[in-house]
Amino acid sequence: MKRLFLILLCFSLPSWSETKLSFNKDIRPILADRCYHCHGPDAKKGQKGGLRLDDEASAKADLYALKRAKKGLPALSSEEAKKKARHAIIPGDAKNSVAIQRILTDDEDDIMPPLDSNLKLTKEEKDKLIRWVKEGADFEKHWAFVTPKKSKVEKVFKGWASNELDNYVAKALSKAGLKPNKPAIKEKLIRRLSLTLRGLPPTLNEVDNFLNDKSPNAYEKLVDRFLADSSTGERLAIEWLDVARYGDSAGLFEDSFRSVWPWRDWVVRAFNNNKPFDEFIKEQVAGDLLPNATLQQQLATGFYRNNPTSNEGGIIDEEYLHLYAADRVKTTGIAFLGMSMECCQCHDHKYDPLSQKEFYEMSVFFRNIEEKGRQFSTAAPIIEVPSEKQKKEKERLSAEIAKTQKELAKLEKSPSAWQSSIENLSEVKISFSGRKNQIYLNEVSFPGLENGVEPKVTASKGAKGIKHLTDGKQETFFQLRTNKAFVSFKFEKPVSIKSLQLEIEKKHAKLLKGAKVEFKDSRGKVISFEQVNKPQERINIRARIPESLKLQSTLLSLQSSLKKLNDAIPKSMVMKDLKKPRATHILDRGDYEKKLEEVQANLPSAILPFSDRFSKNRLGLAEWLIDKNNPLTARVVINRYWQLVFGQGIVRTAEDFGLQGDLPSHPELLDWLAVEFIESGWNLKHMLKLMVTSSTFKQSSKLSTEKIAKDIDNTLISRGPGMRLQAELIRDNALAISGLLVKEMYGYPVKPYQPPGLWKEKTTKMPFVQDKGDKLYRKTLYTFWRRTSPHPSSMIFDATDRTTCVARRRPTTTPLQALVLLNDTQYVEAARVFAEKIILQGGSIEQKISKAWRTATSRFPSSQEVAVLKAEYQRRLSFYKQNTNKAKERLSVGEYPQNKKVDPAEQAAFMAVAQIILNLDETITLN
Amino acid sequence: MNNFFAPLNRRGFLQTSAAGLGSIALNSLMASDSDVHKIGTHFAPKAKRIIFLFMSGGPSQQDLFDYKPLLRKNHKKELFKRKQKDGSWTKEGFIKKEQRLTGMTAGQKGFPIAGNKWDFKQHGKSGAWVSSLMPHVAKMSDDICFVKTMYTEAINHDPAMTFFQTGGQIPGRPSFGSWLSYGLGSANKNLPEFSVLISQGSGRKGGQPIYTKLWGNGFLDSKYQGVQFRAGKDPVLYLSNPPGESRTDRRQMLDNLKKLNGIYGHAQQDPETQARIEQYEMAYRMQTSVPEALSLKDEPESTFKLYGESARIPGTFAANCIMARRQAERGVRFIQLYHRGWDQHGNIPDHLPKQCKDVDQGTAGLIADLKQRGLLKDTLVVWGGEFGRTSYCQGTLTEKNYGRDHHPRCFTYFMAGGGIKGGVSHGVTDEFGYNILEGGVHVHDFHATMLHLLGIDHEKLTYKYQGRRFRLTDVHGHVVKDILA
Repeated sequence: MKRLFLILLCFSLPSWSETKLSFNKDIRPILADRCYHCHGPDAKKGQKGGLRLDDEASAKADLYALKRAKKGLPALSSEEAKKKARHAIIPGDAKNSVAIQRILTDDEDDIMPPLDSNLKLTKEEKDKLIRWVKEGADFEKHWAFVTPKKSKVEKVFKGWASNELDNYVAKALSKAGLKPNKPAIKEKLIRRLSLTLRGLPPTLNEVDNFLNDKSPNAYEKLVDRFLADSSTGERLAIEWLDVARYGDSAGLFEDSFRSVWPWRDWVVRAFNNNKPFDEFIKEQVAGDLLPNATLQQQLATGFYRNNPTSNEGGIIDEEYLHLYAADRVKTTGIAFLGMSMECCQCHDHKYDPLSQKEFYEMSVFFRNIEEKGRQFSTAAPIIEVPSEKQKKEKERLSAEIAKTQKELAKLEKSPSAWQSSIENLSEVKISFSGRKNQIYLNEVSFPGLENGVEPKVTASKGAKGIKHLTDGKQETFFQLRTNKAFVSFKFEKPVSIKSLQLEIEKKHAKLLKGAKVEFKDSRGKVISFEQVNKPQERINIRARIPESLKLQSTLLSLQSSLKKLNDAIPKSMVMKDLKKPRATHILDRGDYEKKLEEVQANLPSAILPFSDRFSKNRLGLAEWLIDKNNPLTARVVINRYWQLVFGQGIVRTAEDFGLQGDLPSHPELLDWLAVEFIESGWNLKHMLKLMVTSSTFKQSSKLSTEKIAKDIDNTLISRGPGMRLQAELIRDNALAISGLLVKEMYGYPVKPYQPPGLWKEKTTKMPFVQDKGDKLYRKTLYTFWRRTSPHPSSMIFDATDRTTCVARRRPTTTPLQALVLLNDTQYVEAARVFAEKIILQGGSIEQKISKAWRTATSRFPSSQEVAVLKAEYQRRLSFYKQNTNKAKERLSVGEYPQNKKVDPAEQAAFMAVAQIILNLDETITLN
Repeated sequence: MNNFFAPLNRRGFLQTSAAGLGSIALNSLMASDSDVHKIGTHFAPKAKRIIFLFMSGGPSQQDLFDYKPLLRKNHKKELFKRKQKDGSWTKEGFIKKEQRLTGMTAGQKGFPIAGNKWDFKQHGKSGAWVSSLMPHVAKMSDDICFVKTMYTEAINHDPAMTFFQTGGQIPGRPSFGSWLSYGLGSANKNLPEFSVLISQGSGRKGGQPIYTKLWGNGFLDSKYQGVQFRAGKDPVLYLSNPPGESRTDRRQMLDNLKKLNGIYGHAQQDPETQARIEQYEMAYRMQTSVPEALSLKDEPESTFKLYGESARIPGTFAANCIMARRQAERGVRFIQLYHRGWDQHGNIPDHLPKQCKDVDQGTAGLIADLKQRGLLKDTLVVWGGEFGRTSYCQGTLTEKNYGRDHHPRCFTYFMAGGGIKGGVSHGVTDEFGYNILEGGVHVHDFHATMLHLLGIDHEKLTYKYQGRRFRLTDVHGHVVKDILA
């Protein structure tokens, strides 16, 4: 029996501050986190007791009346109804609001959230809810679903703002009683700008030029120059590859190589050409569906092929096709909408207005692909992406082949094109093309061969089942299991035959395709040869006359050149729709075996109705994403670039703009940015320029006691950005500082140093073969990304493994990072080469230290700093002078050639200085 | 990485070492932080650490622990009854063919029963049935709990391993060890909380792959990753100084680096600089603590007698078992071993004995060693793979040869120590070892139980990501109370 309970509500709460509580800011986060799980949008399990606290009508409705109506009971008389009425929330009346009663009770059966949910409300949260109800319990639409608008902002800190952004930041600072930091010194500013935009430190020349440029627009000129630098495209690509979960391997099971790197290059080019971001999205989502899609537009859709795939033997296609489509739905959710769709795979979202049905409706766009569940390596659909040179060469070769074929065909028609017999024959050799598991030949015979003559049969290693001649015929049945299979028939004395006849069972005939037959004389000279292009059960091969042989030879060599060229032309995985779409069903709890109702392409209406003006394919999806009424895309994208520039987003949960995500720290700023982004024609470089030319960006990154107390996380941006460089930049930076960096762009991924055995211990497929020379010093963007065993030092610096879409990295500080920077060959070698380059520039030790220091940090060292390094240098120098072998041992790290002109003792000693400089906090952070 | 290396971020740093910094502002900061979780146990733990001996590939339970005399008796007979057009089942066969099979055998014409090649005997006071392939493990039977009814939904290696290690079949979730590092925090000042050791099987060479994601941090901070310990020069990646650099040299270099970072840190007032200085010191300490923990030099002869001769060879499973014990002694919380090569689709008669020889004595030696050192009572040792194998033969069944496909519906795990009842067998499978009759233990149940032994309520260890509170056990899992001591 239910106990009656009396609650003594204590409403003598502290006096309210002047402003009313905001539903979006103060109340919804509490309701969403503690209540929506059971009283939220999930239609199946999320509306317990008929109550939804995400829906104003439900929250304020008479639940008792609803319950009666649901049971089909007649409505009560109005007086009776009034007596029985139960409202979760009665605006202005906290005491009689059942929801409030239930959170305040100490009855274990009644308390909300229920004890077994492991969720609790704090005293402050309860007080807030009470106050909100008393203030009228106003509901608001979730901020992220309201189309952004620019709003006016009052100006504070006169003269501080450089552009509109600063006014929003200033407003928040002044509200918190904080002032912005002073501008950073010019050296720090250029370094910060260069690292932010180009991912590289400025060169000493650039620093000096900037210091000497006293013109008022010196900084702006610098910004323009850096934005136009091709390194900027590469730097921006790093961010996008995390979102796009790009890797150079399949990701699952054997995780073999897959070619999507031409897509990666497309991304770099798109950023460098400042492709409007709406087009950037559109081409990646549906480039193949654009009218007269260009090769580059098709290539762009590789974005959606970056999902992990499996080649595991036992997998069931249907299950994996579902997984691949689901991955694309989730990626779309996080990358463009800032919405986590994952929950909806199994049930309606517990917090956000996204239903399970909508998940499967969105997956329709991605199921309709010409792909298989089990995918090997670079799996279809793919396109060829030839360079201009390759394209021309292919045209030339194809034309020549056609011409030669024509001539040859003409010649072959005449009976005189063939020799009536093959004389002086000593050997017939049949070589098979490509890797063959099994080859079966039934019968090989030599019409015209003198009776009783038997050739000696040899074959490539591992051949089985060769039988010998019977009655003038070479009856041969054999199996070969090898890469370069051949079988050879040698005659002891030269013989004469009319032709060679091969017989093969029909089902095996295709094994003969490309096989090469050679007739040789006693000196091994080729009399004639033939390539089997049209395999049949029975093939008769005669010898050609010299003219025909010559043409044949030309043709084969052209064909082989074409094949080589075709193999060399890069391929890239892309999206391509099936002609007949696959049916898509809602899957019960995401289980591919449990199909529920069939669904059609559609998109979540709470974000923007997918009306008839959108086509019902990926192109429609793309248009919907970039529609000016879509409240999310521009905000989500620009928030990530804010995060890139300032270290954290205005919405800190860059991946989640939903009800459970963080609220924007500067909502009006975010909206201003989103609208400006759209109004500028989705001009990313324009937006980046606004950010980096703001006074907000230019502040010094110093902390103070006051700011430690009030803004430790820099949420209010009361100081300039300060953060440890991300994994790729850590390595690129060391390469750039030391002078090792090879700036070559694009192309096949490279394999720089990594500790031995890491791939082998996980799988025998695809061994790691470290590259040599320049490839060791390319930007980390081009490092081969094997997803089941990614580049280890990058992983230690918090890179993501690129198996799922990730919108922000989570920086940590660990001792393994210290070990990488101190001991990894890549960094030790960088110190060695850095030392060499500095020494070769000459000067006193103080000058050398100063130069090295500036190269890494862009600023001059203090005399105290020089003294510390000089001490290290001198101690080492005197030791190495006595112990040249030790010096040489120190210099033995890495494959970069050692310069013999440099004194080993001096270099080894300065190498220690270089190593310290490369490990400085100031070097590995942006500050 | 593990959080023994704390402080790891600005927030963590402030929490531990900057108590003086305006505590009001700090408190509000903590409260508003969505990542804050309660570190620690929910009740008194039975186990302080886990050694998980993972048999990658899926060992064949009916050849090792789940004794089914009817298999031999019905050798070569068809296992499945099949549904006919009228809805009735064929007379032939024993088990109704209702479940999905992997793509490797789904197309097979027949499914002949393959009898176990090796004899089973009962062992110890408990009378546990163990096959002759595992003589040393058999001797430890009275300390062991055999769970005959483990099951999973995944039927292929990648998803099945990922499931056992992360609680989800597709990549992206944190691994078991990461959850522990995140939930229980630091217990160790010199070694990681979560270590990984890999050995190669001598049965099926090459075999199916394993992946770093199995010990990855998923959406947790990367400091919670497992740290792989390897045989050879660098037991932890990048641990050794480069050639020519002595420990004294390194010390002096670090002192100078510290001085310079100190000057900079003072000017910037950023607590992260201080945190990084401390990590350099920790790295320096690791350079001696890690090799010390892994060296077998001070192990007496009796150790090798116990673990077997192969324990002398670095990188073998038996050698890794000694490492596991040494790490357990030094307070590493989650020690994950992988032994590859258990994927016997064919050649069971040749490959299975080799695999067993790889692991039998090392496993038994580890349990015995922990016991004699008094460590078994709070160390949980777990042995098992990602699924079991089918009672029917994959490929052609001949006099001398048979193979078995993946079988997710029931397979055997065994556990010892750490609050687990010894000398018992849990769960019953049918006479053909195909389906569970009672006492099924799902992957989620297994995780819930392991967490329970460590003093953690699996429903309370949560992490909020993308708006949702994630758990190792998703929304499932029950503690298997029957096997708790």
